[in-house]
Amino acid sequence: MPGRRLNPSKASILVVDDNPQAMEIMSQILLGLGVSRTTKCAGAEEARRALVNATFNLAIIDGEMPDQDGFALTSWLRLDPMGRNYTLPVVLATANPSSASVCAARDCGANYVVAKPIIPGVLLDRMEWIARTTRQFVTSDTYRGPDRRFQNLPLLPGMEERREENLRLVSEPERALSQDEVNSLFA
Amino acid sequence: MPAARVFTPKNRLAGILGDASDPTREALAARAERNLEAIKPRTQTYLRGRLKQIEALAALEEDALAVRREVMAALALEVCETGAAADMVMVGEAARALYILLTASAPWHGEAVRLHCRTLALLASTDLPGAEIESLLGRLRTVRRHVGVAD
Repeated sequence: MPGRRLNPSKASILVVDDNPQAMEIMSQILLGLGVSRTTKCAGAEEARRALVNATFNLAIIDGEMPDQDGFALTSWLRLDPMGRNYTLPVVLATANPSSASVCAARDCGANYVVAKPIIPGVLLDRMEWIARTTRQFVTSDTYRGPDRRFQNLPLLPGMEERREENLRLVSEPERALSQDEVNSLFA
Repeated sequence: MPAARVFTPKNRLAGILGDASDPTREALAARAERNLEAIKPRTQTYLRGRLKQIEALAALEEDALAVRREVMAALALEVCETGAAADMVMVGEAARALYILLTASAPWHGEAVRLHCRTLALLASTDLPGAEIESLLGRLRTVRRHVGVAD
């Protein structure tokens, strides 16, 4: 649906990435999208401090970082239901989007996975999707994150029905997935 | 059994939905693409630096290379994460293949690592036809499978 209008200028976005060039790429993408409030962290420890001290509208977290990876950081974020960013939407960016890592991302409470380097249109689509969707949040002993029963909701306009194909995708846990395949496991 | 709590949190991104006075998503994405284009030379320089480091590691003796497995994996990951933004998509793919090989819980195979490094260097320095690149990457996949690394 072309011509949709968006204004991400007021969104406060946390970006966590240990790769300085990947961080530069992400910063330029967000600048181009009109985001003026970006907090950049080069690692999980710095990100944890930022998440304790400020409230964000979105976090874009690198999946592969040396000390604590993005999956563990997302799990940490979902630990404290009283935390100011407990329900913060998280987009995990990974250079290795296998179905195993996509499933790990879902299990740690991420909202979406995108393949690195991120394509601006893909990131904007994810942001718009989150903005337009009322998604419940689950707190249980075994899972804390966006309601994964989301798949029982009607598909949004423009989305293809791919549930049968998803079964095939998760049967090949190591294969690198295309961004479309990654999306289908989250939709 | 404790019950799960299900609730609807405030939509933190609802504020980005615009009105007629705001730019279209296409205009925003195009502006971001232009920004990426502007930093492409920097990204390419960064990538070439990382590729040189990988090449230097690949030239080491077997034992020295094996000890630096994690260093090489980190470099391969950096190339993989930024390749496409430097118009070096297939270099990024070859780097991803090297990263998978180096981080898999499989026995060390120095020759397989060197073969991946040579392919990476070849793709970075030569403009090969798409079919040939696919064939090279396919052969690397076969090599990985033979040394017990699933893709």
